Amino acid sequence: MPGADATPDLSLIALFLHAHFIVKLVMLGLMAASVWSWAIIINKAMMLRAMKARMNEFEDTFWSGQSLDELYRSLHQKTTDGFAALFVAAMGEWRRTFEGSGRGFASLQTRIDKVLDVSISREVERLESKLLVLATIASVGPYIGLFGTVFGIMTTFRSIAASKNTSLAVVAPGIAEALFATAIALVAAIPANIFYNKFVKDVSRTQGRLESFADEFSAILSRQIDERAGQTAARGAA
Amino acid sequence: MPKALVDTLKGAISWREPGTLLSTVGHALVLGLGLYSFSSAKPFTPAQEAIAVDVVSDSQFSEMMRGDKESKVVAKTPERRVDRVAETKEDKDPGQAKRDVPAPPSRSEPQQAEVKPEPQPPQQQLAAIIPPTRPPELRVAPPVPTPPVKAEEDDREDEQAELMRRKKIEEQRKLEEAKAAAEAKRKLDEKLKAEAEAQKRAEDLKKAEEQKKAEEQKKAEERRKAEAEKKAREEKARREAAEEQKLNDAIRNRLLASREAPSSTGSTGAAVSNRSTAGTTQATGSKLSPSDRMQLIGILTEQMNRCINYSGSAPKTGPQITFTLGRDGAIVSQVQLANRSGEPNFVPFAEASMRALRNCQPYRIPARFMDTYEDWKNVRLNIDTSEMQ
Repeated sequence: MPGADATPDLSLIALFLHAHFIVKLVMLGLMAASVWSWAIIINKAMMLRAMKARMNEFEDTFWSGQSLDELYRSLHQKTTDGFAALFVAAMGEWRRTFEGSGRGFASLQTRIDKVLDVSISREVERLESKLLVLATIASVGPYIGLFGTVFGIMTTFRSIAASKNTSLAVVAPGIAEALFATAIALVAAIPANIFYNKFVKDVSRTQGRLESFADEFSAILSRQIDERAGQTAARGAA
Repeated sequence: MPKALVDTLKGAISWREPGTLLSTVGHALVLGLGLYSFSSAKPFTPAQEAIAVDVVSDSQFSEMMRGDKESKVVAKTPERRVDRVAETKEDKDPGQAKRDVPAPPSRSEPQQAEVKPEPQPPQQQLAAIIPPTRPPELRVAPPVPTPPVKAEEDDREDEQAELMRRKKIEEQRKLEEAKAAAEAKRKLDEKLKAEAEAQKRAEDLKKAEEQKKAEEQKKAEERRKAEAEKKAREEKARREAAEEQKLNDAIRNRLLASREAPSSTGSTGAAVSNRSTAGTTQATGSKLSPSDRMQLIGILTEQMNRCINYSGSAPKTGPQITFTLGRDGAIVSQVQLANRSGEPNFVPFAEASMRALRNCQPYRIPARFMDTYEDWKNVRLNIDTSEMQ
């Protein structure tokens, strides 16, 4: 770069190397936080996207009029998520009731509801995992950066006091390296905050969809239970 | 936790959750870009102001103009040429003597010890009465102008020439007679011829003599004439010089007799200084802080209060006095009263204060105020009379 040797070395590496040990630590920590938060953001975005696609696909299949037993048979071997996980859990409970003694209709409805609730909460937990990290980075990152800046400026002022020179050329590099810490913190915190908000909204929407599906499915199964109970009662009466 | 680490690493490598890998790569890319784009800081181009405006305060201006406008010399502290030391005026309280007269020397020894010299007769006066003796040169009669010697000399020369001629003719004759007697009585024609020749020669000689005489006369005449001319010229020059001298003397006397005093008496100051310099190179006089100003006023007031001599009651309005202090603590300007009051005791009190101010100088001013002299040299002193009531 032309003129680089005329001015003092102000590249990022020089800024980092000139900084105080604690400021260096802060910068490195914030850098790691940024890497981590972006990793979470990418993974979470991909996961939510894939989950939404699979849920839509399952919904299409579910309402296409296909036999539920067939659907269960095609799904219960795989690892499932979203609607499919709910469906597999509820159907498993249903089938286990009929494969066994064939009795126990009275509490089947309750059991299915419980299983659905547990599945929903498990799914939501999976969706929400690591969002707390994003929230923490978003809220605490700027403070950490500010700490680095304040510390850097503190050392700069100490240097000014020691060198007894207040010209801006003496003050500026120290302040620039101190501000570098805040810059890194903001770089880490701003995306974390934005994506945290987006993911929280996405997760709550998914949760709502899961709950409504669970209610619908529970209603379907309840109708089936009642039908079976009626048949059994009729057979018993005959 | 090694297991968590392994899981994280596995997660980083797996394609199902590529977030860690992507994030790391992305950060590395951003860092690389940052290193490239922030590798050097571009220095600012100094902004050029269209018109440089400087607000110059009153004191800065006076600081700048303190020196001589026409001087080319720039000194650290500007100074002005001072031709003579300003006179100081004594100002006494009414009733006191106008000025301090030095006390007569006290006699420590008895008067008898001193021997009075006998009064000498005033010989000088007597001597003055005697007419001064004439200087010896004047007693000699003035020299009679000698008549011109030239003409006499000429005559004498003529006589000599005549004598010589006669002698020569006689000799010639004697010679001819001897010749005639000795050798050629017989050669008559020869003798006649010789006679004729001799006569001719004599005539020639005479002619030459006459010519010479005429020439000499002419020369003498010319010399006399030149001398006369020279004398006349010298005389004229002497007269003219004398006239000129007289005129000059008259002009000088006229000028000296003029009764008007010279209009410029020279600049005055605390000390005579024979050079003046230009103003300062930077018009930034140091300032006195308000607390320091109050302190300085306090110092002045305290010193002034020692000199005040006033017995009446103080007026309600405190007099406001303005003056200019020199660096040595002396007042270098007029002491002026800046306010008025109708109270009958105001004027006596103010005058007593001003007298006290003048009499108390020079004021002792601490050295630390010397840097800010230009700021406080014009003092406005408010004398507070509230405590004197």
